[in-house]
Amino acid sequence: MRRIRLLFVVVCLALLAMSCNKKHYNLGNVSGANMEGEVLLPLASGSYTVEDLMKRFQIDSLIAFQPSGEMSYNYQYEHLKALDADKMLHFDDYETSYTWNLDLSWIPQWLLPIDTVFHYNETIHLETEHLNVLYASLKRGNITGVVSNFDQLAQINHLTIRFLELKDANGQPLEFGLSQGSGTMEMGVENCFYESNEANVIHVELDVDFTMTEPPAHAVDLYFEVSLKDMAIQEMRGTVDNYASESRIDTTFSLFPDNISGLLEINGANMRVKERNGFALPARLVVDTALVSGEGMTPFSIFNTMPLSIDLPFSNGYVEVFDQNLTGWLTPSDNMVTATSSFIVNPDGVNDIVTVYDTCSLDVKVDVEIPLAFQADEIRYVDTVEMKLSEIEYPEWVKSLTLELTFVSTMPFNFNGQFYMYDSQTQTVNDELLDEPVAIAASFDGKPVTTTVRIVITEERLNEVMQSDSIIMEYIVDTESHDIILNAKQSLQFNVKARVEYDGVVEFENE
Amino acid sequence: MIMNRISLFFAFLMLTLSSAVVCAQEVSPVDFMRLNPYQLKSNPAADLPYESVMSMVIGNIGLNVQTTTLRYDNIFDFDASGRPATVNLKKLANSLHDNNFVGIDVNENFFSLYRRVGEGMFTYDHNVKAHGALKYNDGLFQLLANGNAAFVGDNNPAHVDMNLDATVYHEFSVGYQRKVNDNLSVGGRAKLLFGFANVTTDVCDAKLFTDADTYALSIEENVGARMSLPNMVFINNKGMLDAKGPLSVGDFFHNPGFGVDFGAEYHFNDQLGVVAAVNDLGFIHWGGNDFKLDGDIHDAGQFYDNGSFLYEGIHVDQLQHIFSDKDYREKFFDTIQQYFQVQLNSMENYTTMLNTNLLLRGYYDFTPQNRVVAQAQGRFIGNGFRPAFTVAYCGTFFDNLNVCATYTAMPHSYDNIGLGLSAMIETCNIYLTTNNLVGLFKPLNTSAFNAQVGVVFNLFKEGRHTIDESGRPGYL
Repeated sequence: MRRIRLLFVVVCLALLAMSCNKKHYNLGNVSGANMEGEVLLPLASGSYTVEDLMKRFQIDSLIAFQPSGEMSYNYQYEHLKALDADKMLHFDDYETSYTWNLDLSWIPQWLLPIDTVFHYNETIHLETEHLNVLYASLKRGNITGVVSNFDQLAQINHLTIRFLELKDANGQPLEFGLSQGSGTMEMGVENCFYESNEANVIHVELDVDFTMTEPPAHAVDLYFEVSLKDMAIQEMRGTVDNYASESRIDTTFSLFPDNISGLLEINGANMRVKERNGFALPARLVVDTALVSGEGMTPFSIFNTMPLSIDLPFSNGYVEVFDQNLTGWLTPSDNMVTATSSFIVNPDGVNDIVTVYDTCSLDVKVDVEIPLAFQADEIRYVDTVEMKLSEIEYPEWVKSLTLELTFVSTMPFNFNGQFYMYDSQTQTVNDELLDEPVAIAASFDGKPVTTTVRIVITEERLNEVMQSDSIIMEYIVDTESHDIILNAKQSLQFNVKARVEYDGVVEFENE
Repeated sequence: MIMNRISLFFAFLMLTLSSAVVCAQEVSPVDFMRLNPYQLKSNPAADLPYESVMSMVIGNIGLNVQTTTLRYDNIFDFDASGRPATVNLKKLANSLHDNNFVGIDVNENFFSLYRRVGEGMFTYDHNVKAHGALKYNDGLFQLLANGNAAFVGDNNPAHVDMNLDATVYHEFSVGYQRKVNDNLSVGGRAKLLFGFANVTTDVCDAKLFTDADTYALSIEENVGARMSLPNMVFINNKGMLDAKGPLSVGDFFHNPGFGVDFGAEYHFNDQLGVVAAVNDLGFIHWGGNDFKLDGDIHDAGQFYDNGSFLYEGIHVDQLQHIFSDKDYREKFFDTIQQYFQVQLNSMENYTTMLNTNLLLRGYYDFTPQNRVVAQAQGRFIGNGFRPAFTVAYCGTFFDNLNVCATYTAMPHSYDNIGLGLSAMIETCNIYLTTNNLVGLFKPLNTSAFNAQVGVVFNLFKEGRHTIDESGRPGYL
């Protein structure tokens, strides 16, 4: 019995030992984990040279980069065929007609039959634009001759029309032949040539060979029509009169993208003009006006003295005929250049006999080199970067996010930036990340300048920030009073690191 | 970062409750109870006061919690009613030490038969044993609790270091204990082993460095483990471990091994004696489905740096893509995972040693019924050695009742006051012990907790000999 009591005591002790507060060990109520700490994390880094920025702005193709990093903005304007010989070398279309009233009824019967030839001569004065042609090889053109009523006069044996100064490849005058008294004759003149002692003149002969057996009853109107059309010259020898062609240039060019505004004071810009004059005659470019205008600036003349006259001598290749330094103001984008000018061939009216080919032209190239050396004031650059932060799940237990930005700059600009967290759906700015614009200091002596910025986003603001889908970055750029020279190797390096403070309960997923 | 409640539960189980074991190899009052046949487990030379003993299944059932630092109450914040409400990572991390240990031991005794033969005793045991040891530092918890801001600089990485050694095996042992002379008794067991499963980490180490200036994160990782499992395992297309086919009986008898226990007990006189023993000296040769798990930083792209994962931030253009393009974002984070892949490959056979236990015990009998004991015990666990020092009092009352009180000190565990009771009822020896009395009431808030119960049958009651005036079994 004592043993049984003892066993009972042992069992009770065991039950006591194994019993415990069930609530204390009930894990069913555990909702999450309480965490409090701080995470340090590098977020992003970047390094942009000036050359990178030019590529980013998609204007690098307009920039000439030197190995040393020196850069200049090259604006090229090419005016090909400012005067085009192909358009000059032609005879104007010509058309004329002749009517002769011939009365042979008086011829007595006894004289008949008669075999005879009538011979008519006419002179054609061809018209051209400023050309006095003594010789021309023709590459195109048509001659048409129309005769009528000759067969009412008599029995026509043969009718011939001859153009004495128009000759075929063998040097024989071009002629039409017709065995009837009425009809149309047409002939192409390609590969023929014109040769005359008298400029622009063609003599036409009309020979009518006929046999008359009976006298005509009445007088007859003999009709002859001749036309020369589309007479194009491949090569011409003669003289060229003073000839002018007016030209107007309206062009817009941008140094930087549209989202940059402000004014740049440009020093040391250079304009060079090259020309190629194939006319074997002197020519001249006369610039009457050349204005630059842009938003926020007063239009000014590129050249101090107007009109500007530039002689364009004969040259088969391009030769530089003008080189002048320019100063002035430009806007970063959308500079409008308006210029009116005239191209004049043989401006002084020289009467030398020259040879001109249809391939001849007067071509002009204008190179404007704008070294990226300037002063900038209040240049404003706005960039919008899409960041769909609202799609990012972030823990609610994040108490603050501190962004630590470090900039190392060798760029000669002060960047005063402000970042706006923007919600395009509601078109509202959810948050200005910075209490005041961040100032990234410039390097005016080429030595790296470091700027550090801390952006503290509290829990309340973080919620607003994370509702955004884009960041609008606005930079106001200035060079203080420094004349700066942009170099492709100047750079802005930056890195962003984050300090995330968290304190809260990480909820467990419910299964 | 959202943790799963079930995951937490299993993690907690792994670290604490899963170490609840029937403990044979940790110090237990059973070792000192002179009427309990299972004292033979720790001292193969022990004289048992029985002619023969048998047990089946219920001979040794127990529970052991062995965790040096992890405490249930340190894991949670509790609400007003005392229920755990949230996991408090900071409290948990602060409660851990640089080196923490969770031990696992299972020894399910299926069958024992001891029979006295001549001057000695023949023993036969069939056990299934499982032991595991997880050593871990506080790095992971400190990192989760404080963030990497607490680990800045080249000399101050967040260091996560773990080591797991777990084995399950069958043991068939045949032993013999005998008295050599009036002063000396010796005993030993030879054990045929069949390994069932093993996981051994050679290294499981990760360091997170945070640069003080740039906050650049550098991760060094080195994971190497060997495992032998009863089934072919593989990593499925979801990246999870998977196994092929059901188990067969034959799977329980792969991986042979051999081990021995031996000990000696010497009586200087009627009061004073010493015991020296070596248990579980042996090995298991794993020749079944053996795998090697390797994990280090893979060269998956831009963040690979000479064997490390180095994240110095990304280019701002890339960051913008991540924020604005969902597909790009998902692809980016998928790529990150590729740096940390592990490879599971078949490997050649390998051999693991048992966790050998060394024991040195001295005792003094004030009277034949009252004994005090001092014991130093140490156990090899992987590359480590875990010592324990115990003092105990053991008394025998009414010729049937053993009462044993113990105090055990182990590294990071100094509050282990144990109590054991054993009673002979007819032919049964019924016992109930714990090595941490306080732990009975707060089993998850103690460094070591052990409770063992069992019923052992004395087959031939007339063969039992009481402890005589000399304090030793009368027939000896």
